[in-house]
Amino acid sequence: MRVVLASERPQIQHLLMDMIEEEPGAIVVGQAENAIKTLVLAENLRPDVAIIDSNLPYSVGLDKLALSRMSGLDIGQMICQKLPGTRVVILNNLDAQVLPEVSLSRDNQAFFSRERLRGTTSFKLQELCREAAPSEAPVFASVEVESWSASQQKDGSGAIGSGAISIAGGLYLIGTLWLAPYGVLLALGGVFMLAFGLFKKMTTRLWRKSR
Amino acid sequence: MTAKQVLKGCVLFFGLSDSELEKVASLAVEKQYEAGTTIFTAGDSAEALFVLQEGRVAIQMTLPETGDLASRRITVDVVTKNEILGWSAILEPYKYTFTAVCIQQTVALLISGNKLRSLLRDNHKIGYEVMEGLAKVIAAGLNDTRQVLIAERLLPAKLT
Repeated sequence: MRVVLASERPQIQHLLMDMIEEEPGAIVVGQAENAIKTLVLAENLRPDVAIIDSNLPYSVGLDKLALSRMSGLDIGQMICQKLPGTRVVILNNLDAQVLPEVSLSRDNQAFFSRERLRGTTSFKLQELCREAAPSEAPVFASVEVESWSASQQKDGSGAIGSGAISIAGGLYLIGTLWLAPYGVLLALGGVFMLAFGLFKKMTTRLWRKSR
Repeated sequence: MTAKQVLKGCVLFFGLSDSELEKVASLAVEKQYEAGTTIFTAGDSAEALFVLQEGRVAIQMTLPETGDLASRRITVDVVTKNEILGWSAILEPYKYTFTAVCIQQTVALLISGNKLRSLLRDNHKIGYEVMEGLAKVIAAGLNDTRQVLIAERLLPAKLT
């Protein structure tokens, strides 16, 4: 799956590049920072997917003028019209107020998401390409960034921390003698939680490596 | 958020009292649109005025086919929260002059053009305040466009 991506902000380009290259079989073949360059790249490279920031300047972004950064949708529609084999994704939440620089850290987990009236779903580019043949209209999506602490919960670090605290609490209770049975239970719970956290951390690392 | 609260945050209705806002709010219906939805197309009869509660909507103009260039759409403005869309519903000839496409999932209050025009005709105070608000909206849009024109004129000097 060959991908062209377009955003005026270099940080967004890096973020998208990382997200795309995490997908098996996906490769970024071109990057553009304005609408004209995006169209030229798409016409020359005929990518499977073009991912376009909706706040894209036509040629250059005029400083501090939001009105000069409105060409993402236009160029997306034009690519849909000219290149029926290319699936166009318009990213609609990449302005600095919605997705500030601080959230673009490589430690954070980022994923594509589609908001619909019946709910929001995350998706992979490959799923999008498998869904159906590219249509005449672009797909609208957003980039969601999960904070380090949330992804830590997911990769098991949270469970490890809670497990360690439970073990310490359990040992303390055992030390008081008269609460020893509860202490044993608490410590065993902690050991179980710690083992679970370590297992989750290991599998998450293996899964990330395999991607 | 009630329709009255939404209207209170919109420049078009800034000058209205609570009771006047309630009269306008009674004409409004809330509607949601998915990203990518075309709310209206240029040339359509302007049935309603929209006040955006959430989301972003691109206002597009269709350029006709010329020489090698196929017909295409150009975004001339992006409307966001508390802004209005489709003011052709209160100005003759009551036809939308642009196409409106949702860039994000959007929630808007729809105010029937017919009913709003009747209200503005029957209640001169509301009519005056809304028309004054509309003049401000149009003036702000014109000012933004001028800023872009000026910045574009300065561009060659900046690039060299």
